[in-house]
Amino acid sequence: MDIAATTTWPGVILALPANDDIVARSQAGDAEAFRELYRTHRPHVARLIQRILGPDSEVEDVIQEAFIQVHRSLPSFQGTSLLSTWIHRVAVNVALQHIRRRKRQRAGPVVMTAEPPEPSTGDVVPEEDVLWRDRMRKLYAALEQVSPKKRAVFVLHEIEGLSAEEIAKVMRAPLITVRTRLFYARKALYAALAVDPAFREFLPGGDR
Amino acid sequence: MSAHAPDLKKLFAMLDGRLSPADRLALRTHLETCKPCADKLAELERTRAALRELGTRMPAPPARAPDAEAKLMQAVEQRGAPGLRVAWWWLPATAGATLLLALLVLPSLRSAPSGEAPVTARVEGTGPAVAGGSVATVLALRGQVDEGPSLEQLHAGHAGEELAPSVIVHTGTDGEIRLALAAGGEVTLGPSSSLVLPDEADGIVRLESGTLEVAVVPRTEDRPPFGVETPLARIEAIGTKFRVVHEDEFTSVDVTEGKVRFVSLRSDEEQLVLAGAAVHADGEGRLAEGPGGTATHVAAGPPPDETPEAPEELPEAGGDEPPGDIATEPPVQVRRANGTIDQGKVRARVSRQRGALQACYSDYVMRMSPQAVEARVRFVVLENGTLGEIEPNLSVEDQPLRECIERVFRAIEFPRPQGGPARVFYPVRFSL
Repeated sequence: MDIAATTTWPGVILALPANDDIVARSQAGDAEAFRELYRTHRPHVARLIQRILGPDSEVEDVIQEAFIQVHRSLPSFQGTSLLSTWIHRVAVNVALQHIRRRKRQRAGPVVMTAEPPEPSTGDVVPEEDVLWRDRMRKLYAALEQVSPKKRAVFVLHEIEGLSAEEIAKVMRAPLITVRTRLFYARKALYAALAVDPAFREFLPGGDR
Repeated sequence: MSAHAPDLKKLFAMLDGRLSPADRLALRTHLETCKPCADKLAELERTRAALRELGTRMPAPPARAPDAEAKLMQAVEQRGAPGLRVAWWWLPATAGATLLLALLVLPSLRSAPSGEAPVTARVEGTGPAVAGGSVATVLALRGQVDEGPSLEQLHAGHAGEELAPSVIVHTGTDGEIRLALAAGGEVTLGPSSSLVLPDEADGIVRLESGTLEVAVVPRTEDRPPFGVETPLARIEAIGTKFRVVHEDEFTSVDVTEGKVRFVSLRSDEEQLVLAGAAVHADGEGRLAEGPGGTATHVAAGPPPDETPEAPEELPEAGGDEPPGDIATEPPVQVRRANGTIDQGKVRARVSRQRGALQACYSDYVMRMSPQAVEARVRFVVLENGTLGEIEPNLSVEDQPLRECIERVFRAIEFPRPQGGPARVFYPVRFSL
């Protein structure tokens, strides 16, 4: 067993043990080995998928789907990338497929606008929490406006703090392509968010 | 004070700490005299700080539901060993669908491939609701998918299989799959493409990305027009052969025979496209004549100023590649000058360099602008398989991009042509 991947950011690509035996046994159809693989990688996959999809009631289903895909794809894993990277790649692809499918199911042209804050349901929620929830909703509404690939790159970089190099590995894309997608995603999304009062009034280090 | 638009690339590079000390100093000096630039940087910093903090405040991902593991294990155990080939939702065709297919499949495409072949495509089911029966039949498969996430897998042994409604077919960078649709006609999904099959026998197919070649029989009174939809456009065929290419913010159609109606889903603008013409739509819903640009997925199409015989000689649609080694029918030849060369192999070899071509374009975009670029690459393959003269003709004036594309092509080892050097025309279209 060796340490597979590290990052300086507490993001999705954490130092995960790469256990060759688990892979080989899972590939051979050993259910117990696959169960162990699932338990090891599920937290990171869940985080990754949730970050990409945002508030989505189907996150749990997508996580399940990702692991079903991992199982289906195991024979094609040849160890040319780290297992954790490969699993994250599957997870990103499944999340992107989910987004595409979701878009497809919406009839007619999709016009997503930032929703107003939800009316109070009676619970007392701290004002700061309300503000952050509002920002989150607006961020994910804005993300609907960019292509799924740009969305994934943006979320992984801006929210998860992964470097372009790490994203290139996860998405198996040339570094320069990742940088290009990131640049155009940022250009569009920063412009959209910067004019929104919820973001414009953010004060680093001392938010209201 | 400067009156120019702030250089976003530089400002983001500053934000990311990717500027060299010298560039950083130069930018700081510039910011002292350029208030719009300084304000922009402050705005970017504020937005980024908000996003970073948002990341830390995101709710925890859902905890594992008590029964999640059991459900997952049940699902994978039902499938059997990893990578099992035949999916549970592959149902036999209904009698009606089979009859329709028998009538409509074009004669030259009737034969299914034989022999062993590696996995060509991946398919994605949408759940057990497949009572509607089959909407397509696999006619032929060629090529092999890359290592990577794969779904249910298709290989040559699956020729003749029926596909259920709403199934999504994905081809790898070295895969091509030909399907007969219950709605009538036949489609060939090019490499690196994703196609959603209709949800009912008469429904339309949806090209999520990549290239789709379509051959449909003429519309009749009792049959609605055959349709292809992409996220940006709907294409209604009125008895025809055409090719649709879709990438993130771009859809194009090239019509070979007959005519199609091309409707932008973003603007509702529509246009009738006749044989020999091409139209494309961009992400804003604008329609324009010509094949336009498509993604770094290489998309080949006959450019308007080609010589009359050129279209038959072009590498077929879509770019990436169909394979060469699993020929299920006589390979189409590229004939030019003295020699002939296997077009499928040419495309496969070029397609393997897709990443490198993508990098050339990405570099261009970062240096210049995000506009789409068409490169019409003409080259000669010498008898030993090496490249002779090459002329990449670009729709933009950019020497580094031209040299980069030339370098990529020069590094390719082509199949040896027969009967002397062969001349090849390979259009490549790039867009973000």
